Amino acid sequence: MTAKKIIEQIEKLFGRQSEQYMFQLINDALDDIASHKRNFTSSKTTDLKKHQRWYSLDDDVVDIKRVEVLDTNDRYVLVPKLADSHKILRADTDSNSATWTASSGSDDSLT
Amino acid sequence: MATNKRTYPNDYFAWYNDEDRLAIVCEDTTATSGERTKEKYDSFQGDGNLSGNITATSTSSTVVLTSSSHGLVTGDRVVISGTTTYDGNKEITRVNDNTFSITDSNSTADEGASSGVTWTSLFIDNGLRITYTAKYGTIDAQTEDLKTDAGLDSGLHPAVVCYLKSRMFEDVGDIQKAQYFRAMYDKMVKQYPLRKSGVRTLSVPRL
Repeated sequence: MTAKKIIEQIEKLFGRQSEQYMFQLINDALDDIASHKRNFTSSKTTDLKKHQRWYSLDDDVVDIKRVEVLDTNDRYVLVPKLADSHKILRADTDSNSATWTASSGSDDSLT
Repeated sequence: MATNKRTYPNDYFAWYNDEDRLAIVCEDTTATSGERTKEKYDSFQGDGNLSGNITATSTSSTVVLTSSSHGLVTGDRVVISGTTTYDGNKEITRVNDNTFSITDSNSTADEGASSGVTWTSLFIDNGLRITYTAKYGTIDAQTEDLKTDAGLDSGLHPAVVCYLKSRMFEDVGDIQKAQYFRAMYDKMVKQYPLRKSGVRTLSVPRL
């Protein structure tokens, strides 16, 4: 369904409305549904940098499902999540800048 | 593009995260790793997977280095070796496919003319991939489609209409209708996807 069709349904009931306000309400609905359903997954890549521990996450990331690292055979390998990071790691000062790019996902080869 | 790979087996990686950052750590395999911590895990300390030869350096105030098909982008960090002036960790600015520049005190000689002048990246190109639950895309044009442009399943489109009606009735002060459409919206979102399983569980009372 296009945004136009949704807006038409609303305008039938409420008359002419501001287009920007309609977009805002639609986007509010999308955010609200995303917070409940969590079924829309995506993936992206960035450079793995030497001596960098923290990588900032974009605003569209709701919950991380899995993390993979490119191995020496050019395959992405699943890495585990630390369950008790606070126990074995102390705070550090590594920089946290990272630029993520959308991943095609076509080279998925988990081992 | 120069594509030297890492030469040793993969470190044992792990990750954790906080609200807006992801941390990547790996087992500290270096015997002389006194640079950061003495913990079992440390930040990635391996070599990058891009490298190349530098065949020419300019003598201008912005030092331009020539390396065929280097594959670097602006902001990347590399380590340069084999020169008398430019050796060390540098942040580069991409000029074109075959040249990049660094900010440094310029040498009066073309240091790329001699052999053995090389660079190695301080990163694994696209070496990290995350899969995550994401927010839907945003709508900012009437022609945009909620499924193809925002990624919302078509079964949830009526829920969006109910949400809008709820908000609109709220705006005009009709709280009863607003609550009705809000309840419709909640029900649609909660029940989606509607799975009709052919298997029914049989409840057997305890005897």
